[in-house]
Amino acid sequence: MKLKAILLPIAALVVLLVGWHVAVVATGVPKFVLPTPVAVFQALLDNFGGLMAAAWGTLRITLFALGLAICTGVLLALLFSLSRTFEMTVYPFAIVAQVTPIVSVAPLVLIWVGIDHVDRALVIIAWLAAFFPILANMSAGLRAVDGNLNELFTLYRASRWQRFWRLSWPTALPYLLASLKVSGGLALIGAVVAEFVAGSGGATGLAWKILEAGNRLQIEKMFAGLMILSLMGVLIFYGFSLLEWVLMRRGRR
Amino acid sequence: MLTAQGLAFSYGDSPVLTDVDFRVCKGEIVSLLGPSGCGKSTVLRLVAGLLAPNSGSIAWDAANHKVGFVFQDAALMPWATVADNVALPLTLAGERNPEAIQRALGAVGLDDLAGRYPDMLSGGQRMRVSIARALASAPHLMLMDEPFAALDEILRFQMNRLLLDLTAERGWGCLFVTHSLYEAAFLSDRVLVMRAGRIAGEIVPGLDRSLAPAAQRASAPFMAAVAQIGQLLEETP
Repeated sequence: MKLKAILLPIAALVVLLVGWHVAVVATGVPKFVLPTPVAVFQALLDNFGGLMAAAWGTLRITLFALGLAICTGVLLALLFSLSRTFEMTVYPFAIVAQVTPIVSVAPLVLIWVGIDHVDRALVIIAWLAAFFPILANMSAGLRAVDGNLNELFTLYRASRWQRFWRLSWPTALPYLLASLKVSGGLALIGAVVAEFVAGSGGATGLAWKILEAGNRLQIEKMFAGLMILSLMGVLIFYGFSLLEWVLMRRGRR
Repeated sequence: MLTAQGLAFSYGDSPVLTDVDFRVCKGEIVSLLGPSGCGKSTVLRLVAGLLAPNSGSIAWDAANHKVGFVFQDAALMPWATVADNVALPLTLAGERNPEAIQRALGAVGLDDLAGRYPDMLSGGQRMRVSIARALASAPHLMLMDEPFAALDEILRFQMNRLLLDLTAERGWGCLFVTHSLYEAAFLSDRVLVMRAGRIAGEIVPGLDRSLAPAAQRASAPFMAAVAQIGQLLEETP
């Protein structure tokens, strides 16, 4: 069953690539519209060093922003759980930050922060994209504490710290881990959007490479960049899935 | 062990308990029985100190009393092993006592399962863990809120016998909330029948404990106690 889950997508990919190649060759579509997979692969090899350096730049921004989102999201959720008043005051602003499209905020951030420090602006934009699911899930997790267990902790005179560390935190952890899988992808999207908006203003990541290749009609290089980007997203997702599995398997053996 | 006098409690304007008096002595099981919403669970929470009465008092014989609490759902921590769950009262008190935990697990017949996680246990096993956790704190008084209501009849019989044995062995007092007339009649030294926030009456089953459990359930005093409880419940207030 497990093997099937791995083999089926691979088989589908092979069929897709072969079909793609055959279709391009048969119809004679110009290569600046749709290159063959072989041409894409060739472009990947030819530009490997440059693309990898750019990919590392984007990944760095993504991971940095995600780390920041985890810290701020968890911290804010903790403050929410301590003070309902604080939550009522601040939560609407978090929602505003979440629902406002990142693309429309990005230029402003770039003007404020990006002129001297493009990287900082990119991190802030990616952080904006990633942080809300962490806050929302962590808040829900901290509220999901079992009522009877909570009473038991009161009965046994647990300190505030004991109640947090031995009850609230382990209750919220699965919620936090689930949100990381979502926020990991969102941070990557945020980083890419930020690079697009920054354009040639100093950004050197993968999104910029894709944009640049597009401007030069090097479509096969665009595809190569896109593939690396997808792969990064997939790796982030499965990385956090693995983390979740490692931390959660104890209780579900 | 414990004397409650004139207990009254209300949530806002709606009274839950009015003028409730009762005693629990060492080594006895006292059942609180009545329809849903009659205030049984509130009595337990007042005794545990989880709620404060609007008026009335609860007096303890010993100043330094310990209380164990068992809920209907076992209320175990899914992320912790059976042993860590049982150790909770000790852990929170900053104590480490592996022998006490092993003894508590032994008392409920779960010696072999110390390293398991709650997800891997059956409903009956989970309830035993919950009881072992209460045992670990060496309570003077056991408070049990419909602990066996979610178990099937066969398991319930086993758990009833376990509770009788443990009560005889440990000599604690036990305040036991139940919906079941039969369970109350079988387990209890005294049954307090509650209706609409008051104690409507007290029944003393007086079963002969030297008989086998099945024989006790077939005995005339058992039948009479069930009938009397039923009558108290049906009387118009």
